[in-house]
Amino acid sequence: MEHKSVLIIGGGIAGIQASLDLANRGFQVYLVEKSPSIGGRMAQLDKTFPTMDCSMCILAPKMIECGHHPNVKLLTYSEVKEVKGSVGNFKVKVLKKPRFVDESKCTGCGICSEKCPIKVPNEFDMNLGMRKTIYMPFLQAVPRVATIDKDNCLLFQKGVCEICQKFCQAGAVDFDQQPEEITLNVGAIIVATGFDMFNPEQIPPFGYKRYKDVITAMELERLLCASGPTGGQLVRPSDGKMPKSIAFIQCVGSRDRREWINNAYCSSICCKYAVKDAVLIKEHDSHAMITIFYIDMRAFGRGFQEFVNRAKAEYGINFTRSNPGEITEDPETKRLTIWFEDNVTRTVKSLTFDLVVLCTALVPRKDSAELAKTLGIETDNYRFFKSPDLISRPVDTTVPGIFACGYCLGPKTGDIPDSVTQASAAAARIAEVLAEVTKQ
Amino acid sequence: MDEAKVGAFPARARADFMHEVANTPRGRGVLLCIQCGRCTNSCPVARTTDEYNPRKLVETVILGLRKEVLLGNLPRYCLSCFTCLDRCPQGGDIGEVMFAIRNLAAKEGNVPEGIIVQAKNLFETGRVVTPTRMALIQRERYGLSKDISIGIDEAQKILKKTSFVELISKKV
Repeated sequence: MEHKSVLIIGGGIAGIQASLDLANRGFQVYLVEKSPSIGGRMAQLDKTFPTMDCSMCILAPKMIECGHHPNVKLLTYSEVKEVKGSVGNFKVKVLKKPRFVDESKCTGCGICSEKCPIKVPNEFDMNLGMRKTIYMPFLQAVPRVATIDKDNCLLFQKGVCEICQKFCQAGAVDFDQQPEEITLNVGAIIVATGFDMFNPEQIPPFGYKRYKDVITAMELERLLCASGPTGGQLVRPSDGKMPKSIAFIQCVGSRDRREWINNAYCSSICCKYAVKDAVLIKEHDSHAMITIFYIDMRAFGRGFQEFVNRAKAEYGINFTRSNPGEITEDPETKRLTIWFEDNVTRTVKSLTFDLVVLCTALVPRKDSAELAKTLGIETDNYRFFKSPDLISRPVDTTVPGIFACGYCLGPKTGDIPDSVTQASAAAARIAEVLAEVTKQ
Repeated sequence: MDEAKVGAFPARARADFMHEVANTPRGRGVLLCIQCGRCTNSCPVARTTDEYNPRKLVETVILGLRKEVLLGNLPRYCLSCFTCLDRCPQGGDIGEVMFAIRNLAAKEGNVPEGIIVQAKNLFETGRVVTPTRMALIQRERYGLSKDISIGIDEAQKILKKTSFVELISKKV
């Protein structure tokens, strides 16, 4: 019977899609997610390109379906610690970190978060907004269960408080919860761990973190999102006013071969998301002056070039083919000056902006090398997981029975539809491989 | 280069010019260039004059416009501050490429007057700059010889063997 169960690592859109595909085929799916809720990167986005559909409106039904599916067992706030065995018979040890909230009792009413006295920056909002120490990462979280952040909780750090326990009507708060080790027996594994965003502090001339109004595209995404820290108001982090002129800088950390960065690849989605964000800003404020500084506009795929053309013609967004080397800030007005080469006159000019958005590269997860070691699979020189044959078996890894999908396979997959396609492909491969193993 | 020149380029373009530059000891950077323009946008010279634009100069090299590059004066605008080397995402050393082009230009006989004077000084006295009276007094104070002509013949031997003399005498 163990041939009918599958482990999926990573609860982003790729992991969710693979889980649903396999669960609907009758497989028992264990979905392991590191953070308190499934949803991943797509949950953080406001809109998806090029159709400008609401990201959460597409994702949330899938998340809920995943959460309620009889064949899917969610293991959130958990990590894979050990994998042994081979295709058809993997023995997996999963460490379930203590939430200090009983998942079976919590109703997700949210009164604990309301009463909790400690506020900390919210990772889900890219640290722009605040959350409580007992929290649900976002409104549509699945499972709808609160989690206590032990590192900031007053009870764990100073030994006083317990307010959440007093107010919880369901009696779900349990400060004595211990880490739990779960042993699973599965036939095959899918890795869908996704990506991290490149940290632009590695390129000091751009002044990220030194200048408040230099933000990353992911931070902009949260600022533009109606459920974000500002309720969808686009504001400058320095003074809280609406920015009138905005610059986007492409290829921050991608196509960069310098030794300490070593990302020679093109991340393949930055051009598209920059244009999307620019159009979103124009929809917020039609008078905003937007300039996109790019190296090459790589808007390939169905509907993307048309989208770029529309951004130019309908929305009046300026595209300048020149990549700035540095940003300087006026210490008084906090406005940011960028030197660039004018495309028409080919002379060097400077422009001043209220807000600069760095379109950062997508890089492998910090712990991808560690996970690869646990699973015994190989990674390429960027630490993305490696397929033995990119052309005929693109979702396989170097170990039979372990498959991968989504961006953890590297930048050949661009956008959400690609990740979903790969997830379904990996699910189909698992069905095929496990059928063969069972026959033998 | 302006539009008219672009239109006329095929007749004069030398496809191998990029490699000619790249094969000199300091010219490897042209092969890495993706024309992003970060060198130009960080260049302190480019901000003060419209004539000099490192990206455009490398583009001219890539296009193979040998005459324009080697007979022009543009590579000598470079201050060698190497900001471009720091900013270039490809790790291409554009500042070094400027040296490579200057060296190639010198082989074509394109050396500015001032540099010829310095080179001649080097050949005749073993020094680029002849010491002033003040410097000579200082030398004496530190216990160095007042005679600065020691070793000129050895220096000249090296300069002759490395075809330095031919380089500087081409134009004269």
